[in-house]
Amino acid sequence: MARLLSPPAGLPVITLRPLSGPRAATSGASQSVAGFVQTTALPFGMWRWQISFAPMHKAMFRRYRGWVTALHGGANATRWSFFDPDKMSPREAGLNVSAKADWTGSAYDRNWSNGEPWSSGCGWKMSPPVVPVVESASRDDTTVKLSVDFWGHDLDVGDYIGFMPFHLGLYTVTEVFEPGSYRIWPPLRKAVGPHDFATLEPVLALRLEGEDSASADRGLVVAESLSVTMVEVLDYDVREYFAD
Amino acid sequence: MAIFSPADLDWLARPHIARAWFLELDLPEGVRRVHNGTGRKTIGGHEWLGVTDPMGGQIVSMANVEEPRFGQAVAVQVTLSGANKEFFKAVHTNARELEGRRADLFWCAFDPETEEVWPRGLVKLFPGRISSPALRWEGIGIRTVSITVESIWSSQNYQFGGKWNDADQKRRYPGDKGLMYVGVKVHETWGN
Repeated sequence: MARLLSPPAGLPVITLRPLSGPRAATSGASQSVAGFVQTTALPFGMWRWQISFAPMHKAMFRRYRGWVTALHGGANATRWSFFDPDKMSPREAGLNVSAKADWTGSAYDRNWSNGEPWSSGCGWKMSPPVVPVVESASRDDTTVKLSVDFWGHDLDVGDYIGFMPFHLGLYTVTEVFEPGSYRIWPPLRKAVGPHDFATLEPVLALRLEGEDSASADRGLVVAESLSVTMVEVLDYDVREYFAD
Repeated sequence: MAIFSPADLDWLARPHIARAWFLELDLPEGVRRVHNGTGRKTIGGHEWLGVTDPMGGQIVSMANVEEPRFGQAVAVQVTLSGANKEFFKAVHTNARELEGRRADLFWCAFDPETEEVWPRGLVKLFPGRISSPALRWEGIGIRTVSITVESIWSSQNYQFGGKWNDADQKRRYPGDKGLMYVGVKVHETWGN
């Protein structure tokens, strides 16, 4: 009964705010007589995001409020293609294009093989290439090895990556051991192997963290100050609980 | 025997410790393994289920754990909040079956970054038994079930050789009336 929903196409995201996750539960600090402070926390972290949207109206707002309602305060989850505005440029990602090219520009759009564009007049956009994983890593591992293709050896601290196909999870590189071998956080939500690919466009599953964690205020002219606060749903939980 | 070796203590003296509690409950319907974090973790060959909800609220809370010592009966209080009617009824029905079952409390530290288990692994800190569960109603919406886990050492926490009272003396030497009046207030009336 619980479902995995797709967010409406074209949601205008304006703010992505990472919040502290479940590691904060039972965290604390104790101080010795000499003033030495030892901090404690739970070890198992998860993503928790507050996502704000630009003012919207008409069809876009109808789709938005439908999506928010269908999430039912956490009963349903949503797949979220994580859009990273600071993603590496097409040139940095290993494509043979001008250094000025960006992912949203139309200079490198491709039409269909018969030369026709889509009915909107636009062609196919560029998207970041995917890179094969070269070494298997099991669930909860924090080290991944990628092949030398495209950007596989060019990642650095802070890059967001994900894996495909059929892998829900957003990971950030926290250490580069050597080009192609990285430490990631959070630990892998699902095992990866040589048949998997790393991608710069990760998809993770999120759900609302409570009944009042989404807003859908409609003002006089537009719906504004819209935001949702969502927490990650682990890959295996999606398969067990949200796959109906 | 100390629970933690000097090497463990060195490790635990770090400025930041990420740790969690692991509870192995031998329930009538099977062995349940839970921990007070989130997600499923495989440690020591078993999968443990996280019972803290991801928003940081705790479904299960646990009172302080004391080291069992001579002269005191230690127990750990585990409280499950948000119990629904069915669960409440189930606990009520199965209360007698629950009593005396095994409940071992483990403790484990982790590498805060990689979530890897520390060199010592799971440490069984509190081997215990489940005592009778307590059901609590509060207002219209709060229902909690708490289970007291008693240390197996607390039952051995009696004075060595028994006490100097009548019951223990009769246990030692059946029929001996020697301590019959120990601890008893005796009123003697002298003849007038």
